[in-house]
Amino acid sequence: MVSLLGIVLVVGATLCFSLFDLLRKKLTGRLSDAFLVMVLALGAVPLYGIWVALQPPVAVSAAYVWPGLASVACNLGANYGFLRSVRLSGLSAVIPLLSLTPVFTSLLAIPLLGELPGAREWLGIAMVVFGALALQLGERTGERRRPWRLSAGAWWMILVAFLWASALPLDKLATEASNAAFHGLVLHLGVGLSVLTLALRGLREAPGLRGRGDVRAGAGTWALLLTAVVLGAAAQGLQLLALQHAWVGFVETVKRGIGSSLALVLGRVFFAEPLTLRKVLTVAVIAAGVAVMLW
Amino acid sequence: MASGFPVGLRPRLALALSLLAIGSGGAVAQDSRLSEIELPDGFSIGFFAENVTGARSLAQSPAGTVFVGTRQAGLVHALVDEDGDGAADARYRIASGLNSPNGVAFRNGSLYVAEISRILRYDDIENRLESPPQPVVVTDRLPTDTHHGWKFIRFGPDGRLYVPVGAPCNICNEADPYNAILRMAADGSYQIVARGVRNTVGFDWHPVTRRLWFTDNGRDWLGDNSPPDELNVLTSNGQHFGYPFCHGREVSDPEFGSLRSCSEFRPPVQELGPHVAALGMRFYAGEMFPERYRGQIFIAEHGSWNRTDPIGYRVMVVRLGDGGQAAGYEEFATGWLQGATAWGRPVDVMVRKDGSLLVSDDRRGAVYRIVHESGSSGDPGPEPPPPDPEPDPDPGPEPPPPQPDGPCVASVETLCLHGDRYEVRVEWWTGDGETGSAQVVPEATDDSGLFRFFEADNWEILVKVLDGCEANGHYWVYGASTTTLGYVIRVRDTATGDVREYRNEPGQSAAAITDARAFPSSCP
Repeated sequence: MVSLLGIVLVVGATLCFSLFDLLRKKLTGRLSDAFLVMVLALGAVPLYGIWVALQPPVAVSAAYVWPGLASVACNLGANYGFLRSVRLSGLSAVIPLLSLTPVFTSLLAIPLLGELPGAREWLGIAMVVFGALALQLGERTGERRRPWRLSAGAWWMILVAFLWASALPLDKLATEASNAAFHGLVLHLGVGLSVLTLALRGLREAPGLRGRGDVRAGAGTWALLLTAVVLGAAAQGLQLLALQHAWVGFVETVKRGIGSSLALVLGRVFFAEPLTLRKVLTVAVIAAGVAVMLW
Repeated sequence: MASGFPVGLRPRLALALSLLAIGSGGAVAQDSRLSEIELPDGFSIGFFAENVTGARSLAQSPAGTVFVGTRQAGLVHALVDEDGDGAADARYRIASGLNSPNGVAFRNGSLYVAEISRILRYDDIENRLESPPQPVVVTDRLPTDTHHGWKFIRFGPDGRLYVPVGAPCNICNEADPYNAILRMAADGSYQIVARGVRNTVGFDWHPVTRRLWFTDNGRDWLGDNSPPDELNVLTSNGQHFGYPFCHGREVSDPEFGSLRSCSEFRPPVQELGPHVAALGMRFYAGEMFPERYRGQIFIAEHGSWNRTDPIGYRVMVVRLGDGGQAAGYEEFATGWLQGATAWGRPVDVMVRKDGSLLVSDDRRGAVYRIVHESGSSGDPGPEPPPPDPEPDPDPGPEPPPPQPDGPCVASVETLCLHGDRYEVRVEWWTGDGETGSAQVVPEATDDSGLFRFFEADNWEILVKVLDGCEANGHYWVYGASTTTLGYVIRVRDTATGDVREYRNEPGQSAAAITDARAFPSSCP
């Protein structure tokens, strides 16, 4: 049984994540992907710094190094991929694909942990995959209906789901060798500094540490950035609190169900994305699939 | 990779089969569906070639060989009308297995083919139609995105290859070189000449002004009747045509419209139908068609895919007024769309030497030929302007358009001082070859004016023409700049025709202009 507080926390985290997604898509029109990844990551560092300071001193063992670094790499790719995805495609077309994260987690557990999903999990996986494919396949993104071709944004979001799924066991190992606050600090610091280093060395988007070029990053943009940083941190924090009051399956199901539905609404309201019956039905199938898989 | 057509058949047999397929009875081979095409009185349509799988962009050599690009088919065709009867009687497969080789252009004996991310060159192609050479890779550094990645290409009057790079999405704000038209040198290096272009699949240069006109496809999912497709004109390099912030003249984008106003961009000279997918366009430079079509613009509309009631699937004419401005938009060839079903989709148009108009169709897999009764015999007639002008080894800044004699006429790029007496224009250029015409800032007095190069609120040059006749018997030109770009300020006294030029080279900090003896003979 989930307490009322747990439900409130989960819903609050989900709303924050959805608004965070919305702001990130808005910001991709104004700022480069590299700049956004860097600022959103480094912007959260002070918050995690405070959290670390409030914790008892942490003893970080040598076992932290490799899973910690690998998680930074996964999150670096995932954050960049997320921005590429929402830049290229509508929220309603790609956010529901994040429901593939628990699918990848279950599938990765087969070779890594030897854990075979049961019949119910397989059914849930099938529903999520079917919903994701049905959401994308047949979506007209050009003059030709290409039933077996995913949009560029969809490919990026599937990669994001895979990277976040891959990061989960790494995060578990890293937090066991330190604590959640320290690992969160390292993740954000690592991602932000990695982009900064890469950009300064000219390896990728060297001129990217600035605005889009044709859009001046004015006060409105900085206000959006600040709001996004706060929302992102709030979403993470609420989710961590929610996990203390509700089990993972409940949190993930609510997050994906409400998050995917909100993506349809926000996409329609803010970006004039088409809202079709097929989208509504496929998102319902995805949310149900997550519930079946995790409950 | 390349072989004669049909594959596996000897050329003579191929020719015989082609003749059977095309029909050899004259300039216009007939087909039952062609009777559904409606044209103005005196015009008729037939096949230049059938069974041209996926026919997309058209190009022709001075000898008359027609090259046809494709998309999904991965093919490049060559069609030859050997007997001059107005129907292709030999055809060749120049290439196969390419990645959306939509764009084709011909220059100095070579065929250029644009894939998604590469430009290829087939040298001496007309002498090697049956056995094409391995292509030379001009560049392989264009973006690999397939969304709007297929390219229309043409050589401009400056001898450079013009290559568009479309938006990799329906609506997104991507950095250079996306949403742009590039001007490419022989070594594959390029400059951006136009920005804010979502996806142009057809362009041509005005035969007199030599300015670039191009179609642009509007974004999707803003409703059945919005936004319009566009016909645009580039009047100076670097201009921005609005995407993704603004569509048509005044449709502010729901996602990006709050960032920049439509007034900041160069508007289309003609709004076309919504979602019509305006693709190929050409000025009619032939003489077969009646006078009212000469110098006008033909546009192939591929047809809508995201509209409740289909629209497009036709060839349109944009009429130009006496001043060269777009003055009308009317149907020329219709009938490919029957009810809600289209049996053909026009992609590109091209004027043949004999003045007939070729139209490619990627759904039917055909190239049509539209003729007027005054010249349908297949008589080649006079040649239109050569399709591939000789290259200018170093075009540099584009010369300003010819200025008529007479008083100054104020415009976006022309500042008039002392009434309409003194005309001031400014051309600028960067060290790496990007050029443009400066734009007049609206704030001005009768003596003084300002110019900008880029953003509306970023002023670059102040120019004053002062009446110093009482002081020293001259009109004076004073000025100052806040730029290190290269520029030339041209001040013309329209009463005498005298012109003064003031230049600065890129990278230099220009000294103030204090020419108190600019126009000595101007005083009354």
